[in-house]
This record gives sequence, structure tokens and C-alpha cells, in this order.
Amino acid sequence: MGESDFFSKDLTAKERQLYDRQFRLKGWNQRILKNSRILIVGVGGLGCEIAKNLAMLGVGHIDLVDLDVIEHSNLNRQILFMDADIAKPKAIAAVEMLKKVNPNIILKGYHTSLEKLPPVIFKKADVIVGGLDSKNARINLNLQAVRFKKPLVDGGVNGYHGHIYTIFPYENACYDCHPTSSTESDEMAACTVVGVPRKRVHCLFKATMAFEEKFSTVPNPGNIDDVNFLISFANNLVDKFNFNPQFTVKEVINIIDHHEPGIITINAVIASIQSQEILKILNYQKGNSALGIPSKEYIIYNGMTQKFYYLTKPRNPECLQCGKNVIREELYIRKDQKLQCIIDALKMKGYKLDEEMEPILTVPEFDSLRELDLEKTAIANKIRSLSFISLSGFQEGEIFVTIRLFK
Amino acid sequence: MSEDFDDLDEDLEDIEDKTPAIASKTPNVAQAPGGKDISIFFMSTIGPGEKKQKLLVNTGNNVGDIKTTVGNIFGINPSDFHLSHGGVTLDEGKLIMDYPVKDGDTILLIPASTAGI
Repeated sequence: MGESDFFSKDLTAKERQLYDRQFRLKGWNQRILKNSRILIVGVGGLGCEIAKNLAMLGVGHIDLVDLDVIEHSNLNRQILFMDADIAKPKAIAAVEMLKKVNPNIILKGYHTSLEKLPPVIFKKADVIVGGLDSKNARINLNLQAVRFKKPLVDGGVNGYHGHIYTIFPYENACYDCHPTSSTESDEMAACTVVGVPRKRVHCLFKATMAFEEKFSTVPNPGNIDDVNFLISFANNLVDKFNFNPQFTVKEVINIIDHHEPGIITINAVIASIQSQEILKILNYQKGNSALGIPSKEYIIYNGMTQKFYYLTKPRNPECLQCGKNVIREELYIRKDQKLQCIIDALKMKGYKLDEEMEPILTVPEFDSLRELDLEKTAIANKIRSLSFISLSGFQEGEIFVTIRLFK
Repeated sequence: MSEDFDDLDEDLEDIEDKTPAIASKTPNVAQAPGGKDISIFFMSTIGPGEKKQKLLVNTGNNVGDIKTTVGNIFGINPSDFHLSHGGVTLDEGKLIMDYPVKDGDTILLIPASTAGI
């Protein structure tokens, strides 16, 4: 594929001017970027910087997904929201700003969770980008990247440190190759199951649950009445189970409104490395290795010593997502068909039901699995085209099914 | 606070005695049977200076317990790092012997990037 030049016919005169300095780079091909589509999941400290970089570079189509709305505390590092109103959805505000940054590209914002994003958007992406703040979300994004075999350029920050890792499904380790048991909701979950608080902080978790049950909403840390309800409930338990001292207002707010520290400099380093890797991957996918070969290593950045570390993450042949025993099927079903048809179709394909188990169909949610009703239709079960369904109850073990809906 | 650990020749068992027991859902079993003592180099990738420290570890030890001990030796909050061997992040619920850790190997302290993996 030829290099871009200053007379390329597939670019307008304005685009040629805008990208002039890029064209001067050896091996640069603007057409590859213009024809590329990127999905950015999480438009926060990392996502904003990456989206800004890719828009300025002229990536032709950028999809942005974020569940959150803008808070004043985002503005120390998230440049895309400077002109926007507080409480506006981040994905929407980001698109508005990016259209000013580069009016020559297509930008789409989705104010939703990655679990509720139409799956076709994962499939259409050339590269998926992670700018996430939770382990659950990373695991769910990993699942989509592996099943659609898309490179996932992920990054994360912690204080003055950060990491970059690109998962090339079936080439290097995915995020499920070596699962660790600790999750963020660990303490919550343990507390819910056991009933009696075993740690002081469980008293506050129980208060939060009581609040949610009573008012059908989450407590607002900015509302003193909400906070007082929690303190009173939690401190009753503190007394009863002897977990003194009692909770104070400040402590309660810090716990229920927990936020990781974050500064623009570390975010910008990690986001820039992610962006440069995306550039390399897009070119490499199209046969242009003039920008270098994409890195398969897990890169650690220490902002205190300015040192980088590189880890090679080995694949796990037994991995539940990319391992050798994973069974994947693709099935066509009608929108108004009951989901029992999935079981029947798999039996037709030669899979055998385990007589001692009921077949169970689930779809992943943020931190749990939603069970599907076999007696209801695909639509009633909120199944969309390319939905990912996991089946258990077959002798062959767990079966992953991608659904193709038709009328 | 001493910054220079090179002169110290502490082994893990001695240090564990000084370490407050970590909160655990199950009774704290210091060592599983069948473990053997091996020397491991622990190296930090986080914090203000790269540090490397050789420690004697029993392979029957719990990863979470070792992480707490190492955090104390390096002066880093255990919730800010994971232990990583051969590119694999060690699960705090498992034992060292659950991983192919050999005498003389290096285990890295890597940043726990925003609830990272």
C-alpha cells in the first residue's frame, strides 16, 4: 500500500492541509486511518486522551461508550468535557467536543454500559480500546474481544504508575487466562451472604443495602439526610457487634463515595502509548509495518523512577475464554422463537444433554449472570443479534453461542 | 526507616512473626504441608526506587500472606501491588506451590492499576 502524498485524491484539500505534517513521516498512509473504525470503552482519564489523539490523527470512525455522566472532579484530567455541563453523559459530551477537534471523521457516542452495548459494535471495530476502572468490566470486555478475535488495547493507572497491554486473542494471554479470585465486590458479597457483619466496614455495607431496600435508590453522598441514615444504621450495628469506634460523616463519605486518585500526566503517558499501539496495529493489520510491529508485552510504567518494565504473559491452554477446550457455536434463530430452540439446535448438531442437569442459558451482566427463560422468545429475553449466550447442561461441558437473529 | 535492605539477611519466617496477621475468612494456616524452603528474589516495579530483596520462602506459604510481608519489607501498601511470576499474576488465595516457582526465581511487585489484573 502506497504512502500518502500531498495530492491524494481520497482526501479533501482541507484534510490534506490538516494532516500535512503526518504525511511527511516515512511510511505514513492516511487512507488506512481514514478507513479504520475504533471502539473506545470508557471515556474517562484514559479514554478522553485516546479519543483526542485518534480524532486528531484522523481515524475515520470512532465509537465511544461510557455509562457515566460528567462530574466537576473529572475536569482535572478529562479535557473533552471543558465546555460541557456537569451531569451530561460523558460519551455524548465527548463526541460534541471531538467534532470540533476534527470535523472530517464519524463519531458516535453511546451512554450505556459495555454489557448493554449492541454487540455488532464490537464486531465492526478494527481495534477495541479499554480505558476502564474496574476488573469486572475488563473481564467482560475481554470476553467480547476474544470471541470476535479483535485486538484489545487496554490500559490502567494507579497513582504514579500504570500499565498498557494489548490482547491479541489466541496469540498472547487474554485477561481470563490466569484468573485471580479477588474481586472488588469481595467484601460486599461476603457480607451479603453471611448476614452477620464480620468486619467494621460490613456494618456500613449493610446500612447501604438497607437504604437501597427502603428507598429503592442508592444513597447520595452529597445529601446529609442520606448520610445520616447510613451513620445511624451502621453505628447501631457497630455497637451491637462491638466494632467500635463509631463511623463519622467524613469516613462514611470516603467509603461510599470511593474514588481512585488520578492525574493528567500519568493518564497522558499511558493513553499516548495506547494510542501509538493502536496506530501500529491499524497499519500492521493492513500490511503496513512501516510504523513498527505491535507489542504483545505487558508494559508497566513507573512515573516515580521513569522506568518501564516488560512482562511476557503466557497463554493458558485451559483458559475458559481462549483455551483449547472452549466450544463456540453460531446459531440463527427467529426473533419470535422461544429459546428452547437453541437447545434443540445444539442437539441436532450432535451435542448430548446431561440427563442429570437442567440446561441453563445465561448472558453476562456487569458482575453477575442473567438467566434466560427457555419458554420465552428471544426478544422477550432481550436477546439481540450477536448476543453472547453461555449454555450449561450438556455432556460436552459449557457451550458458548453467538446468536444471529432474523425476522 | 531504613532504606538499605541489602545488608539484611532476613528470612520470611522471622519477618512473619513481626507482621500483623492479615484478616482472613478462614483460620490463618501459616503453611500447608509438603512445602519446602526456597530463595526468591522480590523486585519492585513501583515506588520511588527499584528495590530487590532475597527472601527465604516456604512453598507451602499463602500468596496473600507473602504479599503482606513483602509489602511491609518494601514499605508499600499491599493493596497497591500484585505479585507476578513469569508473567502470571499470583492469586492471593493460592499457595506458592500452586505455581512453577523455583529456587532463585524472581517475583515482581507490579502496580495494581485501577483494580487491574
